[in-house]
This record gives sequence, C-alpha cells and structure tokens, in this order.
Amino acid sequence: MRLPLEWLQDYVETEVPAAEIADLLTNLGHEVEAIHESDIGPVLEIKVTPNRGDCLSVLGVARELAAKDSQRFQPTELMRTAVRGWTLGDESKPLSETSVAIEAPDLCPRYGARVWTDVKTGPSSERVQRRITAAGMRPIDVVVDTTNYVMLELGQPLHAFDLDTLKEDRIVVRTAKPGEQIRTLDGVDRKLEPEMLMICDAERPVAVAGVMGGEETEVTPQTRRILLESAHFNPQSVRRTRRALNLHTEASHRFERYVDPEGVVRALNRFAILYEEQTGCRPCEGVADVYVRRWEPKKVPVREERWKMLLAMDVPRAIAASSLIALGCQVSESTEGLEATGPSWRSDLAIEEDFIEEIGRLYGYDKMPDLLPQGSTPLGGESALTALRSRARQAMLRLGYVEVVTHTLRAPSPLDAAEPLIPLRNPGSPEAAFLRNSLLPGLADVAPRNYGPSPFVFEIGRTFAGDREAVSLGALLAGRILPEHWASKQEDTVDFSAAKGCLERLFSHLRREAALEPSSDERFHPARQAKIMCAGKDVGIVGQLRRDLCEELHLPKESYAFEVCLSDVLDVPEYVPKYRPVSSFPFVRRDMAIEVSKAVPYADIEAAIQEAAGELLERIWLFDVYEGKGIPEGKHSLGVAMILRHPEKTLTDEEANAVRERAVARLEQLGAKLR
Amino acid sequence: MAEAGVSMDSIREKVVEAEERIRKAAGLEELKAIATEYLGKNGALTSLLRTVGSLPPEERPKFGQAVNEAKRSLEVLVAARETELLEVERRRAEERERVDLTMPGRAFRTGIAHPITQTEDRIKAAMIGLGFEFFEGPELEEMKYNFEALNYPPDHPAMDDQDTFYIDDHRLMRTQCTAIQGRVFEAKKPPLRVFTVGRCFRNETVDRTHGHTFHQVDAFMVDRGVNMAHLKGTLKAFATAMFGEGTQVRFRPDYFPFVEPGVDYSISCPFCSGNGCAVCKSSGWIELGGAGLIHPNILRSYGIDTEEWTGWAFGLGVERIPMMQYQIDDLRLFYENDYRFLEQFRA
Ligand SMILES: [Zn+2]
Repeated sequence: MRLPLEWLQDYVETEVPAAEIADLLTNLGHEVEAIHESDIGPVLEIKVTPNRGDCLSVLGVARELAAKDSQRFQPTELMRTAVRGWTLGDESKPLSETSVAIEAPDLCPRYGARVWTDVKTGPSSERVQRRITAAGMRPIDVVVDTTNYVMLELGQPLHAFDLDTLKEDRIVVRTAKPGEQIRTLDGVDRKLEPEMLMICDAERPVAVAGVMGGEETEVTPQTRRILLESAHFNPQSVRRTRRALNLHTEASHRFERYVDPEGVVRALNRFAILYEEQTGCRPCEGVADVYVRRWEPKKVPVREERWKMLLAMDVPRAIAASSLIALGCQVSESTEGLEATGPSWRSDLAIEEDFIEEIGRLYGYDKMPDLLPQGSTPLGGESALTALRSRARQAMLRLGYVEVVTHTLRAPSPLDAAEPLIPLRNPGSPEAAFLRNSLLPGLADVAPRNYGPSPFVFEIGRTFAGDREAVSLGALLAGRILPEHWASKQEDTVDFSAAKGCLERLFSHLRREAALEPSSDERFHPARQAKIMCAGKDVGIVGQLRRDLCEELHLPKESYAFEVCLSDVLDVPEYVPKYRPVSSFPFVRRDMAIEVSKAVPYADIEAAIQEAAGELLERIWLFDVYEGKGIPEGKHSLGVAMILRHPEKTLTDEEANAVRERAVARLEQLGAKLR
Repeated sequence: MAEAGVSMDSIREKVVEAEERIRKAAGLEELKAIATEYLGKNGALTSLLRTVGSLPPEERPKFGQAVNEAKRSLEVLVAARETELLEVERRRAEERERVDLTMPGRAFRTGIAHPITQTEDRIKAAMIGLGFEFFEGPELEEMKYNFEALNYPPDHPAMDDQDTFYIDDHRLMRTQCTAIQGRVFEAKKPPLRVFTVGRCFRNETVDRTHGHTFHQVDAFMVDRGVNMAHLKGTLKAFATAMFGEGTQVRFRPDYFPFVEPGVDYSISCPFCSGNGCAVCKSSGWIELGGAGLIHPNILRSYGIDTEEWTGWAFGLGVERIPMMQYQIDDLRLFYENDYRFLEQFRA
C-alpha cells in the first residue's frame, strides 16, 4: 500500500521524518519497502501482512504509530472524529429512496447505503486527485475518486450505483442464480457460479459483491441519482469469488483481509462530507443499514505470567494494559493479569497469544534476551534415510563424480522411466510441467556442461511414480576415465565395467550386497544393461544409454548411466563385516590364461576356481580379456590371477601348483582349457 | 744399497704418480684403467715386486712390504675415488630426470560437491550439534500438511504468498518445509527438536532471485517452558555456526499463520561486521527468514496441552547462504550445474 506522508499527518501530528517513520513501521511489523517522492511529498510503500487488513488505510497506520509512540505521533482532531465516527445526525432514520434486503447473511453480515439525488459529477478536487494519485490510483471523476479516497483513508471500500438503473430502486444481496451473468466495469462478461455473492436489484446482479461493480449500473456524467454502498462481506467468500473470476481489485484486496464491520456507516458519512465539500450536494435523509450478523466482542484472559513466560520479557501489567488500550482493545484487570477485548477492526485478535504478541510488539523485541533451550536434551541426528543418502553421496564424490542439483519439475524426456509422469495441474511453463520419475533426464541435461565429452555427474534426489516418492541416486558417465592430459598416456574410456565398478564401490560403501541380472529397459542398449538386485529386490538399473538417444540428447555416443533407488536399499539390512584373521605368511601368485567359450559367464569361471582352490585362495581377479588372432571364433582368453596364502605356514611352490592344477581340472568341466 | 734405495724411491715415485692420476680420473672407465696400470697383474707396482730378486736378501722383506703397503693405500684411494665418481654419475643421471615444476599436475577425477548440498551439510552439522533430529517429508505433499495443519484458514490471503503447484484437489508440491510439522506431531510426542532441509516449489516467474524450486530449512522444538528467548538463542547459535562468532540476531514482528507471535529475523551482517556493505544494503542486517512460537491451534489440534508445552519454529532459504557467501547474483546458476560454476566451490 502507498501511503502519502501528508495524508498520514492529517491523522497524527508528527515531525518525524519519513525514513524514521519507515523504520518504526517496519519494527511494528509493517515493512516499508520503499519511500517514493511525489508532488505531495514522501510516499511510504508498506507491505501489509494479510492478517492486518485494518492497516490498508491511513487511519490504520496512524493508529499503529500513535499506539507505539503517542508523544511523537499525537492523534489529531480528525483522527479522534474518525475513531468516534462522523455523524450527519440522520443515521437512525430510515431511507425512503431505496430498500436493502440481505438473503445471504453469512456472506454479507452488514450492508449500508445512502442516496443522493440531483447529483453533480465532474472532476474531484485537486487535493483528492493529488492524494489518490500519490497513493497509486487514477483520478476518474468526483464520485469514483471520493469513494477511493474514503477507502484509502478508512479502509472501507465503497461502491456507487446509478440508482436510476436499478430495477425497482432495490438492493438484494444474494448468491448468483444458475445461468446468471454480469458485465463488470472492465467490460468483461462473466458467468456466475451459484456460490458467488452478488449485489442485485429486483431482477439481476448489478455488482460482484466486494470485487467489482457492473457496467450497466455504473455512475456516468448523465447520472442523476446515486446509491452509495458500504458493506461488510465475508472475507473467504470474496476471496473465492474473485479467484474464480480471476479478478483482483483494491476492494477485494481489503475485503479478503477483513474490513471493520462497525465502520460501515462511518464511511458513508465520510463520503457525504467530502462529496459535499467538493460539489455542494447533500445526501437524502436517512441510512439504509441492514446489520444481520452483529460483530460480537469477545473477552479473552491475558495472563501476566503467560506473557512474561512466552516473551521472556518482564513487561509490567500497566504497560501491557496501556499498549492494548492504545491499539483499541477494551481492557480490564483480573487476578491473573488482564482481560482484553479486541476492537471490531482486528479479526486477528482471537486468543491469548494474539494479545501477547501485541504486548511484545509494542514493547519491542529488541529488549528480548537470547537463551539456549534447556530441559530435556534429545539425541539429535540424521534419519536412517538421510544417513544412507550421505554415505552414498560420499561414495560418489570419492569416485570422482561431480554432484549436480537438477529440477524436479520437468518436460518429458526420452530418458524418463517407463511409469507415466505425474503432471502438475497448473504448470508455470512447459519446461516445468511434470514430476520427474527418473534422475537420468536431468543428468543428461547437465552432462554436456560438465567436462564436455567426458562427463561424470551424479545427483541424489526425489523421483515420483504412481503414489511413490522415492530418494534415488542417478549417475551418468562417458568418455575418458581420466581427463585428457599430457601425462596420461593411455586413452582409457568408460565402458560397462566402469559403470559396474562404480556400483560395486557404491554398494560396498553402503554395506549391501548387489548383483546384476538381465533387464530390458528401453532406454538402454539391449545387450549392455542390467537390473541391480539387492537382497532379491530390484533396486535399480545400469547400462549403456542407447546410442540414438545419446545423439538426440547431445550426449557422448558411448554414455553409461545407472540409477539406484536408495529408499529401497534402505529396506535391505546393512551387513556388519566380521573380522577375518590376517595371515602373516607370504603369498604366492599364480596366473592362468584360460581359453573358454564366450557363452560361459565369467562368474562361473571364478566360482569354479574358488571351489577348487578353497581356503587357500585369498584373492582372485581378471586381469586380461583377449579375443582375436590365435583364439577360435566364439571363444576368448581370460587372464586370471590368484593370490594364494596359507593362514599358518609358508605355502610351497608345489602346493601352489597343486591348487592351480585342481583349478585347471575344474575349469575343464566348463569346457575351458589352459592356453 | 744404492740399488735398494733407488728401488724404494721408485715405489714412492710410482705412488705419487698414481695418486695424482687417481684423483684426476674423470670417469669410472679411466679409474679402472689407472687401477689396472698400477695394481693389475702387470701393473707398475706389481712389476716392482719382480725386481725384488735384485736386492740384497736382507732388504727384500722390507721392499716387499713397502710395495704391498703402497698397493693397499692406492686400492683405498681407488675405492674412494670410485665412490666419488659413482656419486657424480648418479647425480648426473638424476639431473637428466629433472621435472618441470610448472607443468600441470595429473588430472585425477575428484568429486565436487554442489554448493547447495555443501550448505545443507553445514546446516545439518549445526542443527544436529544443537540436538536436533533430521526428519524427511515428501515433496509431493498433501494439501492438509502444507496449509490446514499449519493453521491456514480456508481461502486465506496468506496463501497468496505461496503460489502453489497443484497435482489435484488434495495434493500439491509443498510450498514450505514447515509442512513436515504435522507429520512430526503425528509421529512423535514432545519433547522434541526436529529439523529438515529440502526442496520447495512455488509457481513463480523465474528470474535472478526467484525460481520455481528452492531449498528451505525448517526447524522447530516443543518442550516445557520454551519461549521466544530460546528461539532467539537457538537462532544465534545456528547463525554463529553458519556465519561465525559474534553474529547477532534481531527480531521484527511478522505474520505467518503457523506462529504466534510471529517474527522475521535478521542477522548482523557477517561481511561488514554491521558497518554496512552491498550484501546488507548498507543496513548492517540481513533478513534471513521467518520464525515464531508455534501457534497454539496447531499444538492443540495434535492433542498437545499448550499449558504444559510450548514450541517455536524457524525457517530460512538455503540458496541465500551461498549466494551471500560467494556473491552469487543469479539463483538459476545452482540448477544449471555448469562445471565452470561448480568447480569454484570445491571444498
Ligand atoms: Zn554488510
């Protein structure tokens, strides 16, 4: 809200400069975001929190300042009149020119109206124009400008109808009937829904209650009679309607945030005075004031012990009481402290804590100490899932991957998993319209930004499929295993074994056993992919991304990826390593070059050797795979190294050779032979 | 006699000559040749022994002894010179292996942690250190946990600050991590100290300082006698852990439906010690987030007696922290994941 300082000074007498007022207001909870210059002096731009509709007015802001420091912000005569309410002396008399009926009392607890006949239109006074302009509104004519002026000053939106356009000169406040429409002041025809509150005449809606008037009943230069509306509408109802109509107006903004139900007639009178000042026109005698749901004051106990405890400040009872009184509360003393009744313009003061906040706010939080909580000392820590996440992340960082953070909300991608993507009902843009079901699309997006042809990237984040939200780890790797460099003579590039190797390290870091099983995921090379199985559970996928997809996504042609569902891994119990004695006797190494059909899985070879070697086999690894010249078609040669060691003595050459021979014999059963 | 004298002199002569040559030997080959020349089978000294027969018998032992002594001394000398020459040769060989210190080091793959998760790690360490327990809630959240359970009245304008991505009528992308509160109260009884760090989503136009996705910390505690001063103290301890010793915390009234009283809190600017700089816009203070005492309506709705238990909560954005620390001026960089950006924050 834009508040000209000059206008504020109508309500409080003050010498305090704008910048200091801005600080004071900010410290009261009304953040001043900027101070603008205008032809009537400084204008404060105030961010009013949604619970404080009363501060969307000159009166409301003036009241806050006077409550905080009545010495430097002395209420003026105008302020005192405003608080009491202006009177024309005819408020209790009925108004014969119109009748008002409220058919929806819950949505419209109060509706007031005054009528003018033989009205004058034309521009408003210069002062009114300058002030509403400084407040950010455009001057139109004296009637509209004055309604706006009163709204800015008192917070009560007003609406003027051309009474001659109202059928039977009547006002009926009711919800829309099926099929009803209205053309609003902005020239838009709007279909109405049955729950929308409408201001109607005898036949049809003439205004969307609290939001915008209708075009047909608008005041024009030809208007002879005016009906001025000042009402209190249910905030939720106004909000629902204006949202459904996708409209936002100064009036709806205030009604949504609660307008003082007791200020309805005051605003009519304030308009009457200002209008007469500008045009000389006086209203017809009497006010139509239908007040069907009265505002009920509610007494709330505010205990001294409680405010001292919660605020941790020793605010004396007298100061607490005077603060609340300054804010417009009715206050009485009780044995435990105070009993307070919030004013009609403060719907936010409902419970004890609300009043305690007011006491603290005016006292000043700068007087509050800082203490560390005592009492029970719980054992803080990570959750099991977060702990697993942290370990997985550490493993990937140690493996040399770059961690990335990509968007949850995405456009569809060829790397999405098979499950359907969950769409947002109201996406902000097509690039962020679906929830990712895999981390691979995001990784593919960022891979080209990382090391160009040799990305090593990973992310840990949520993925969504069906009703399940899981924490996953995704990785994408391609190109050289070590970056190109003058000292790296070999061009060792990523292949399936590189991806598998990372997975092995990852799982040993997580202390879970994992195995690979054949899979058929559309995103991967059909012969170079596998499901990751952990305790019999499918927890992920690894493989070479299909080359055509890589081309489409501008990825290196030979790109590998894996994705592990950490939420699933968490369900698999972690193994606890059991100590094995470390032999101090020397080892013997024996290598074998085994020629074997490529159809025989390497795991079978290793299992056979393990079985033959038994306890003496400490370590076994594949150090070479060769096919081509000298090896028959369909076969390859595997170089396997064994480390043999005896726990209690030095192994002799003969014993080592015997192990090797047993292994060879066992391998022959698989159709393998020694080269 | 004269014959013998000449012979003894000839030994000395040879020795002096040999010593000179050994000392001057420039390489092992040369040294070996010199050694052979004097000490070899047909060497100069060995040959002298053969002249022993021309001496009177009584002088022969003395002469022989003198030759042998001369040989031994030369042998020692040769060995010493050999060591010296070996050393020189090794040095020379090593010199040929000298590296260019300015050539770049081998580029091993080393992981880089993302600045957001790095910050999350620091936050976690600080909060766990203060006895808080990490709790993880869903990003795709039920409407009730994001709003109703947090004391948002239906159709309240406070929701306008939370432009929401909806999935359907009951589910949405959480707009604030505070959404874990209801879930925690369902799962745990006070006393409790809980926090989370996670992603939130808002349907906002993306620019340098706004994204549709951001990360948030949310922490809260419920215990007997907990008040605003404990909130301030915890925030101060947290801010000290994040921004360094001497960081001060300031409260200003603010409104969030889930706290009463509600405040926004600022920390004294750690970059200028409160004297005013670009980060704090010359104010000496940096507004970090919202906080307050947990609204009694919330506690009561989970059956917690507000006469016995009170609580506080605070929240803040994660991205703000590295943006301030590293003077990053565009939020979108965090999600672009350019290596040239990420590697600057290697830690
Ligand atoms: Zn600063």
